[in-house]
This record gives sequence, C-alpha cells and structure tokens, in this order.
Amino acid sequence: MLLFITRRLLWMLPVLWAAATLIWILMFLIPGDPARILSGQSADPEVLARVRTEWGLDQPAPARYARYIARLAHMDLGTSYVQHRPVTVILREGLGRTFLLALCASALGLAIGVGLGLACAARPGSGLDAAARIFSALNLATPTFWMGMILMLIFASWLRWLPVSGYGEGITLGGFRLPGLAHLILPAVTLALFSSALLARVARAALIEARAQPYCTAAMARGVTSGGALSRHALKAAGAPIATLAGLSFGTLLGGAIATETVFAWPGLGLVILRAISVRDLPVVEGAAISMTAIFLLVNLAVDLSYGLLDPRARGHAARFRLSAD
Amino acid sequence: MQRHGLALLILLLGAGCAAPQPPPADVVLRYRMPEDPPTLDPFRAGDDNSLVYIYQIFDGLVEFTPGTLEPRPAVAARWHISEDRKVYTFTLRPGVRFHNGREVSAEDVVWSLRRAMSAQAKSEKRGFLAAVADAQAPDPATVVITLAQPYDALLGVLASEAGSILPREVYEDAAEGYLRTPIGCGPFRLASWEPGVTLSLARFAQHWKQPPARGAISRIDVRFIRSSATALEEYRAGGLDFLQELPPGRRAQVRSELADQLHNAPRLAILYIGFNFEQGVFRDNPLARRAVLHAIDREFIVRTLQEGKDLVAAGVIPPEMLGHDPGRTAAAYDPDLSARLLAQAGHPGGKGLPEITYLSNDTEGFRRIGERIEADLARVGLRTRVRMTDFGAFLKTMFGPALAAADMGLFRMTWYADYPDPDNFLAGQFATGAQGNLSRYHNEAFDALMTQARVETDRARREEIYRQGETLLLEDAALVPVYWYRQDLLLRPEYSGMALSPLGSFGIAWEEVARTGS
Repeated sequence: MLLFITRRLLWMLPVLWAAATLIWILMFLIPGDPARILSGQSADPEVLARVRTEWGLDQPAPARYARYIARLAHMDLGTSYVQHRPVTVILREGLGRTFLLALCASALGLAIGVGLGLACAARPGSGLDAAARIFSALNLATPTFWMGMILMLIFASWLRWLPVSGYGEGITLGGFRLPGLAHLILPAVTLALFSSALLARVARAALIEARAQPYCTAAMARGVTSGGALSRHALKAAGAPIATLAGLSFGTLLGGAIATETVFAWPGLGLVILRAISVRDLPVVEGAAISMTAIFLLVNLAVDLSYGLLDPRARGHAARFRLSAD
Repeated sequence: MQRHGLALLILLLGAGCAAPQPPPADVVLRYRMPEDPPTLDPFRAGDDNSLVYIYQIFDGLVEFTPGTLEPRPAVAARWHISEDRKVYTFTLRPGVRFHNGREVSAEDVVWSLRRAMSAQAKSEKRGFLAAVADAQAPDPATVVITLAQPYDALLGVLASEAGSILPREVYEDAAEGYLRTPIGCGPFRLASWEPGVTLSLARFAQHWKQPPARGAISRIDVRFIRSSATALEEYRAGGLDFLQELPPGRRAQVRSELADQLHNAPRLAILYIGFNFEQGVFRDNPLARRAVLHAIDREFIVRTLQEGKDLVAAGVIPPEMLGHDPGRTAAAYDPDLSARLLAQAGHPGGKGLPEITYLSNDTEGFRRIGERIEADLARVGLRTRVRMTDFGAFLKTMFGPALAAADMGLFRMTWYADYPDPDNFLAGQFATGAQGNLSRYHNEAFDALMTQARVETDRARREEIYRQGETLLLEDAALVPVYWYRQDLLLRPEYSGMALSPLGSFGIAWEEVARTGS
C-alpha cells in the first residue's frame, strides 16, 4: 500500500510540471496586457514601462518561464499583481471557503443521492422510482445558477427563512473564519441537488445490478430482508462507482463552483479565479490552476484508496499488482 | 408627609436627569460593490471600484459641492487666483489631520502633487496635472501652484482623486504597504478589509467637517456581491441600505415597488460608437460614417434596452457639464437617409464593402446593444460581425500601438468624466495624441480649438469654443453618440441629506448624510 501511494505521489510531479507548463503557455498567449490593467486606462507609456519592469513583464518568454518554474520548485506561487499579497495566502482563503461549501454540498448530495438510489433500487418501476428519476432529470437539466436564484427567491426573499447571500459571521478557528451556518445552507443545497441527481442515477443502476448477484439471493434465502440485502450487501459492491462519482464531484467543486458562488456571493476559489482572469492577475490564475490540478490528483488517489475499504476484492487485486510490480 | 413626598419626587427627577444617557447607536450604512477595489492608491485608481473608497478616505485642497460639482473649500479654507490666472495661492485650514493623527501641512500638499505627477509612483494622473509647472509651500499653511498656461479646469482636477493629499512618511514605503492600509485625511478611514468578503470604513472623528447633529453615519460596511440580481434581492430583504446598480430587466419592477427609494440622476458619461480612423472603410469616408450615424436607432436602445434609464445623446458633452448645448438635437434615425448616404459614398446597398467588425467588451447589456446595432446596419446593407471580448483583451486592442492591425471597424466605448470639464471629456477623447483618443481621430481644426479653449479664461468664451469643437466633431461624424448615462440609485427612506453627484455614486458625500428615520 505504501509503495502504491509513493508511486502515485511521484507520478504527480511530472503531471504537475506538464500542467504548470501548459497553464503558463496559455496565460502567455491570452490577449490582454497585465501592465495596462495594473496601471489604469489613463496611464502613459512611461508608467506602463515602469510597471512592466517591476513585474518582469518585459523579460523574454524563456526567462519568464524559467523564473516561474524556479519559483514553483520552491513552492512559491508568487505575488498577486492586483492584491499585492502572496498567491498562497489568497488561494488558501478562497480554497478554505470553497472546501467547506464543497464538503457540505458533497455530503448532502451523497446522502440524498444514495438514499434515493436505495429507495429506487428497492422498488424498481414503482411510482417512487419514477418520481425519483424525474427529480434527477430535472435537477440535471436545470442550470445551477438558475436553481440557486429560485431557492434564494423562495427561502430568502419571500419566506425570509435564510439570508440572501454572503458568508456570514461564524467562529474563528486557527485564524480561519468559519461561515455563518445559515449562510451555508442555500449554496450547499443548490450544489447538492445537482450532484445528488447524478449520484442517484448511478447508485440506482449499480444497486440493481449488485442486488441481482447470487450472493444477494443467497443472503435473502438465509432470511435477510430485501432491504437488508440491498443496504448491507449490494451497497458495498456498488460502492466503487458511487465513490468514483462522489470523488470526482467533490474534486470538481473544489475548483470553485463559480455560478453558485456568484449567485450567493460566496467568497470562494471560483470567484477568486474569475476575478483574476478578468484582470489578468497571472500569478493567481497560474497558482490556482496548479493547485486545482494537485487537488484533483490527490482526490483521485483518495478515491482509488477507498476502493480497498469498500470492496475487499479490490485489496486482493492491489496485492496481486504489488507482487507483479516487484 | 407632603414635604417627604416632594423631596422624594425631586430626588427621583434629579436621579433621572443625572442618569447617564445611553450612547447613540452606531449608524452603519450597508453598501454593495461587485468586487474588491483593484487599488486604494488615489493616483492609480480610475474606476468606480476604487473611487468609491478613495473619495471617502482622501481629501484634497478643494472638494466638489454635492450636486453641482462646483469646487468648494476642503483642506484649503480659501484661495486666490492671480490676474493672469497662472498662480493659485491656497491657505490651509488649521488643525486638519491625517488618519494617523499627524497634522496636514503645506509640504504634504506639495509632495502629494509631485507624486501625482510622477511616473516613478506609477501615477495615471500625470496628464490631469500637465498644466502644473511648479508647486511650492512658502510656509506650513500656504500652497502656491504655478501653471505654465492658464487652466481653468485646475480646481476641478484638484477636487478629483488626482488632488488627494497624502502623508509622505506612509507613501514613501517601498514595500507599498499603503495599498492595503491607506492613510488620508478624508471623512472616513479604512477600518477593516477581508478580501472577497467585506471592507469597512469608519468615520474619522477628527475630520475637519462638522457631522450632522443627529444620525451621522459612523461606518460604511461594503459587501462584495458580484451579481446585481443578488444585490437587489439583498436590498429588498433589508440587507443593504444603498444600491447603485439595478440588474437588467428589473427597472420597471423597482419603479413600482420602491418608487420612494429610487433616485435617477444624470451622470457625466457617454456611450458612443467609435470608428477606426487608422484603417478601413470609415477612415476617409465621412459619408459612410454619417450613414452609420443615421442607421442606428438610438431611441430604441435607450427606451427598450436601457429601460428608459438613460438619455439619447444629441452631442458629446453631457448635461451638467460646461459646454453642453441644450438646444442641440440628436441626429435622426433615418434608414432611408442612411442608404442614400451610403450610395453617395460609392457603396449603394453596402456593395463593395467588406464585413465590418464591431468590437466591444462583453457584458449582457453591451451584447444586446451590439446585436441591435448589427441589425440596424444590416437594414441599410452594412454587413457587421459583432465581436465581444473580455475586458482585458478589449483594452489591449484599443490601447495597442496600432489600431490598423486590429480587426475592427467599429467599437463601443464608454467614457466617464475624470473631472467635470470638457477639456477631459472632449479634448481628452478626440484631440490628437490624447490618451482617450482610442479611435485615433485626427483633425487639426479641432485640435486648435481644444488648445485655445484650454487656456481661455473667460468662462462664456470657453464654453463657446467647446461647443464649436463639438459641432465640428458631429459634422465630421467622428463618432456616433448613443446615450448619456443616468444613474439609478436606491437608498432607504430613513436616510436624508444625500446629494447625488453627476460624477457617479462614488462622489456622494456620506459624511453629510444622516439616518433620521427608523
């Protein structure tokens, strides 16, 4: 297991280098002059020249790339052109807030999705099954920002049960300010509805297939109820695709749910990146893209490791792989 | 018994009188901006996102009178202008302090002016102060500004952010810590800033201006809400006190629901369609340009797309600005005339003309305007391709060294007055070599008029020259004026004393506003 993890972590390095290079090339080619944005529209050529020199924007491309890679090698993501703060600090703030939102949304989405999947798999073809599938289809078809606005109008504007937007005032833990709980609800539910729709469909299909296996029939023959066979036996076997989807979904959300963050004014990573792109704050965009790549790789690793926990057969496969690799 | 009762009553009354009054509740104005300020350095700030704070944190020698924009005393108690109008002598008000407690002196004013004119400080206000030849502080309470030529717009420039007074010891910091913790001498100081979340300004207790007797705003809390639709819902739910932007399509609803809170006021800004004067079909063809002018239905754009908020522009200089001609009428929307002009230009029905690219930065509103213009031009035979880009790419094209290399024949531009003078608004956009002359328009007669107006000291004569310049631009079809901006603002009725500034909502003097209701 340790060797497996070590190998995966080592493989991350060339992947990150490739991603960093691709990002740098894209940001280099994208039209837009950071110096102009930094200096203001009325800035004269002399001021623009000074700004370019200050930020190294007048250096040739190879020199800029070399400096960029050297910084990354020292885990230094640079300083924001606009905010004049370390990029790591900016990303940490945004990522922290997005992490909270993604965690809550993913947990809620998983609970709703798996719950619906179980209910549908227990009674395939029933009215509940049909209603759940319609619910899933509607949520998949509905744009997130629109769903968010509708939930806001109903629960915040009309019923006044929840705040309209913002981060709220929560307690501070280790220098990180937590959001107000009430402020977390609407954005988390908005995101959870979409992810739960996908999870419900996958869970339903995987559970129906798993329940049709002989070991479930045997369990029921031994007196286990249909529901018990589903939840205690079939669910574990169906865990791999559910975990994969949940992990991918969580990883995607960590990149910042831009539409939801915009609707609810949630100051997460999505808005940080959106703002950085529009003002050509290259260090922030580059840093965010590399960070998201690393996070996605780590989430994938965690999902792969979870297979062994969910399905003992997967551990056997892993052992055979280890033996053959040695 | 009666004596004891009376004594008891007196005692109780006395106790009531002597009991300490509870402190007045903080009056917090809850404001919204779409995002963090890109900078809090007044000499690098050019857009509303920064100016909304800068106008509160910093004071200059003079300030704009709310509503009329006439310069009035601020840090300077009075001033004298020499007969040749080249020497301005300001006498400072005693006891004005910076937010760090130090008293403001004339040396600070002179240092600030020099910084505003410095490329080393990366100031984008150098052009505004180009007329200033020298600034001196003969004593701690006197500032003398000497101009190379008379420039009657100087007081307007000094009232803008370009005239902000800074403490030298803070703004000489090479690490530029002042970008996060600005220090000025304005009515509010920066209290806290959580990037992406909120920014708070607190009233500066030692500010020279007397606050309203009751209900003065003690704090301005700004929340960053990117979506204007969300911001409107927040306002309707009671989470905001002031809103300076309505989302598209909601104006009619707001007018019916919140009529007593909605204010509509002029703004010194124009949206126009510019031509590429470096290359393409419009460069040497005034008839083709006039064809475009008469092909665009500006009434429709204002009435329908802008929901009646703005004003069809008859010229360039907006109402409320020196030089505005209220008698000028807008060019008629006349597709038939446009078609005839095109034919006279040698392109009947648009024959022989390539597809014209119309460039704009991408917002929902600008996209709709672009689509309407595309349809209007198609009606007279002009094939147009609407190209929407993000703001960074748009700036790069427009400010690039060669417009000739740009794939663009028409562009949409919005110009906001930096200070309320036609030298900024007219010459700043169309004089040869001006930073704002994005179309690269060149007209020697116009340039001569702008040079003459700049140094003219008679106000009426100056106004007349600017009107002549505007007429010249319009006759030459140097641009297609579309509309002058007006601003929709929402403010809760319990606030009073707000005077709207034609410069924009950032110009509101919040230190003079009070919450008198509940």
